Amino acid sequence: MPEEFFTKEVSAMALEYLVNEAVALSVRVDELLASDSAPGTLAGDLAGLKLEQDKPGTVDFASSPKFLGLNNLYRVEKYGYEIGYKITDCIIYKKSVQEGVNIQLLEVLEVMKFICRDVWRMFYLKQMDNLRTNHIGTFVLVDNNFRPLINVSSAQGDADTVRKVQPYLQLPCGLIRGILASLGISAVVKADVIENRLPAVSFNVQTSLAK
Amino acid sequence: MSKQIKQLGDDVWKTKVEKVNSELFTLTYGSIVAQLCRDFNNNYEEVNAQTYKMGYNIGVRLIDEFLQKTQLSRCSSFRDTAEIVSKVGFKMFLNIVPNITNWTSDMTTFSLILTENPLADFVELPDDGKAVKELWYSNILCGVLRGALEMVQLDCEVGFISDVLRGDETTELRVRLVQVLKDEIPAGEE
Repeated sequence: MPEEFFTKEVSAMALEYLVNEAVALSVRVDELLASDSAPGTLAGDLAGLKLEQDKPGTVDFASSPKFLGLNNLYRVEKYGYEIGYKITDCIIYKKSVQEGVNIQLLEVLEVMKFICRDVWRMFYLKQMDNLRTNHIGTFVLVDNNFRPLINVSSAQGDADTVRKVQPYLQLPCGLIRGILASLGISAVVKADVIENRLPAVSFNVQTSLAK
Repeated sequence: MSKQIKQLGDDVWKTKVEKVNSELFTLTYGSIVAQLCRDFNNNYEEVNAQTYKMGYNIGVRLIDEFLQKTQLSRCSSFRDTAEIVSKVGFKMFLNIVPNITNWTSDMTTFSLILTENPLADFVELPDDGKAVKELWYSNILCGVLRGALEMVQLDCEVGFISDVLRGDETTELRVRLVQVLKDEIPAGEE
């Protein structure tokens, strides 16, 4: 029975559609909650008046003021966090049972390598390109060709593209934070596009190495 | 015909599709639905509506990739459509082949029985007594089908009528053809 676990596969595109659409979903949820929560108030009434729904196949949702709002960023981050928190066990199990590799995750550096190598390969079908650390708890993980951002581009130019990818970077941030949390490491994770060179992305991970 | 379609589905899956672990997919969808339940305070009707909408948006885009990878042309009958949805569509994205059954006599409605469902592996519904009656956990699939079929001029109604997660015997998805849409010229063009 155990060998039946973690052997099934689905299309990488299916996952990509799902993750992409999660951001749009989060914006819609935000708008709905805003219109629900404050009936009678001016803001609530105004939100209720908005008749136009975002049209499928368009990226209208990305122009919503909620798109770059904190609520949206947090919610998307939370999707990632939850995935990360739960996936660690699966990956360790998979590696040890199917590939006979015993993963030791005692040191923070080992955990980071685990994320760069195993987690990234599983999620984004490639490894991180670079891992740097200052040896006092800060790590920088670099992916020069971050898969979800390969085909993004805004009609309003490159600056706008870089601005609007932020919500899409929240999910991997949450993913990293969730994995760290599941191994007992609390951290702050922040992602940036490297020098406006999409799809190159760096993840800055600040762990609190409380002794 | 049916055999060729199955072969096509298998070929596309084997040679043209990059793959990821299905658990990853399950967990991702799970975390999205769980968050929706929290956001809407277990208002499952709203959760159903949101996952459906999500699927619809995916469906209208996914059809492009589907057509590009399969190079299929127009189906000659709704029966063919059903075969292709199951043996090529579900196969190339989720690596499952639902059974087609329960055709109505006018051949406009059929059921897909999902013996496997990568969205719902290891999933349990909240035991608040309400979820098992109201939540269609995999509703995103209905949205995807609706969106994708609409893009090939098939206006369909799609919905679950049973789900093993709710304690039913099978997971059954009903597809009803409402009408075949006509190609319309966009307003302002001739």
